[in-house]
Amino acid sequence: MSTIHLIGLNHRTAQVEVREKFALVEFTSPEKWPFLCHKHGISSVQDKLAVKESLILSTCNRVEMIVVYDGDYEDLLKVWCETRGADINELRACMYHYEDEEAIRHVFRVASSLDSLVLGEPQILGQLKAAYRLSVAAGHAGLLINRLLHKAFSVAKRVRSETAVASSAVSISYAAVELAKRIFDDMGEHKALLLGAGEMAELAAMHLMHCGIKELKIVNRTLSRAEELVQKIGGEAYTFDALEDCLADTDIVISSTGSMEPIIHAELMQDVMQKRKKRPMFLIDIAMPRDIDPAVNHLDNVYVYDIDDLKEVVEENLANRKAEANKAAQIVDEEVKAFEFWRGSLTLKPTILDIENKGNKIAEEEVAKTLRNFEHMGIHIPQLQEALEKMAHSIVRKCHHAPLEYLHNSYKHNNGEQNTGIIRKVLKLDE
Amino acid sequence: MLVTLSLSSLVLCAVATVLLYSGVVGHFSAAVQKKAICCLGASFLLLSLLLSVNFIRDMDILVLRSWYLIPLCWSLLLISFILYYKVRYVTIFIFVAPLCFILLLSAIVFLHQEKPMENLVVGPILLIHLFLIFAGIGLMGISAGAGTLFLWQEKLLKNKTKLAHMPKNIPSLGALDKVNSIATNIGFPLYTVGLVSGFIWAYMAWGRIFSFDPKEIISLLILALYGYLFYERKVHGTNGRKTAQLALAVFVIAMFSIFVVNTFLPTHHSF
Repeated sequence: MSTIHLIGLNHRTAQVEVREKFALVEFTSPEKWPFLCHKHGISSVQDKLAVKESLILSTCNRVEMIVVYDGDYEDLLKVWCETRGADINELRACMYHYEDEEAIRHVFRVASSLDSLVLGEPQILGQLKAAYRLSVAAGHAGLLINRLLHKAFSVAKRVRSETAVASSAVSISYAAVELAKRIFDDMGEHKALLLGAGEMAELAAMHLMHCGIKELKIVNRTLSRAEELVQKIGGEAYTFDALEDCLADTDIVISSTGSMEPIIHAELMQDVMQKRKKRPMFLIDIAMPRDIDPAVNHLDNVYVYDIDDLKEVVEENLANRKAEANKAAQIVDEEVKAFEFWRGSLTLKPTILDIENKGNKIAEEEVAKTLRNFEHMGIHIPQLQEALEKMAHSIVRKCHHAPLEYLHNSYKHNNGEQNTGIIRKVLKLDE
Repeated sequence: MLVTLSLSSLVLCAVATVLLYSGVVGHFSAAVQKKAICCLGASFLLLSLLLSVNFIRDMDILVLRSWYLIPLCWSLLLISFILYYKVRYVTIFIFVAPLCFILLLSAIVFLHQEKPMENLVVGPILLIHLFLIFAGIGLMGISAGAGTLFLWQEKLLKNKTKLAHMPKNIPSLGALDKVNSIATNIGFPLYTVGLVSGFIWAYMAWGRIFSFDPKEIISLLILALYGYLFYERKVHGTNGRKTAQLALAVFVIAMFSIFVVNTFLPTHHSF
């Protein structure tokens, strides 16, 4: 049976500088692929290592290759280092290598986002699908990689639907958007205001823009900085003089100024709410010290969340995800077993064919011998040959049923290969 | 037949309630939603059959109180299906299913405690009065349901409840307020016309528009409060918490009128 190798490095084993050094991102066509696939013909490019199947996954957090190869995995490391012009010892120091069952488990864990920096994040599945598409386009996805990746996608789906590993927000900006969705029906009908131009607020604003917010206003003490940000993420720039009018016209406020005193207080918000006919407002205060007086939260239809509230949301959600990861790991284990059983059955197929062929051959020989004997005895019945053939094949099938069932079961109990060897010897299939 | 059909509808409403609430607490799959809606749909069809058969067979049953609770339940289901068709929020049924269950249960209980209405003249005015009042109360129920969910979710948000502890399957505050607004905008005019037609019918049947019956007094109180809610929404653009509380108050008084006034106070109204 061919060996599945998985070699790679990720955010846990290598620093970003090392990951950059070994990144494999430019393989968009078969010619650029670092390996040669057996089915393309080894003779065409002699300087490339020929493997049976391969897939390369290269993201900001991990660089991995899944290769179906019967030789030594050191060959794969050499190809990797030659491709990147990097030192093999440096790679050895921070890489991991898995074979067969462990490699399959790792692929399933990666697809289910159990091996991600942020547990349960959804991007990795998309990245794995893109890597698989490239492998298919390059002609490097064969029986094993096709089945492995399709299974990995279904495992990821199962993990997402049967556990809460991917539910709830685990970043401040995502948590803010999730909360906004609890308040507003359609984000596309609402406007947002960015008060101050801090990095965190910028991230949250970008997240809101992704959710299709109708309009963004940026209010900053210095108009030039606000305009700079407008050029980067869009919207309109204002100075602090326009704050009250901007507040009255927007539904979501993200505040992150460097002010030492609260900028938005209850009296100001009462006037603002009068102006906007008490339409709901969601204020996210990620400044330290806080920009929004906590008393504002007591006003009707106004909801204020500060950085600690959001952090609590994120931390608890992350803890929940970790608790769910154990459940997900059990699903992965189940699926790895099922995949290994399928892989084992691939080895069984030639033996089944050999047993059937040998049995059929014996049956046909014995039928011919019996017919000759009948001829000598002067018995000529036209339907006899058909009846004898039917009987002989039926006897053979029944005799083979028990050993074949035994072989099938032995693959479930991980001694399939050993028992296949014994059966081949007993039935003299290789003679 | 009345009892069998009512009991079947009651069971279907109970099943829908259990399915919908299990969805709010846990995972609200599309299949569970579909099953709950199918149960309510079947309950609506059974009630339609029950009303048609009995109406054709015996118009006099209009004097019985249980007979008002069943059409009220039917109207509530009809309105919720129309609203569902318009806004596609399954959560409308979260309030409607248990309410229908309570109404049907009460109808079955009251079957044996009937107080027939005096001098009942069944005619088009009475039918208009009943239909519009039922539609008005049904829409009040929808408003109150959306209002209750609004107040619950609003409290969780104000108290900074963790996202993981929040109910997963209820719509945003904005969506709930929208449902409340639509139901009020349609419900108040219907209820008003229904009440006016009731006064006209009273004049025709009893020779007086208003007889200071507790039921009539409380109906005027409901009209005033419902009108205030309508006015606040339309004129001042009020929304959110205040309108949710008002919608709930209007509906609670309407239920008080049906269940308490009819049972414990002297009134010549059957429902």
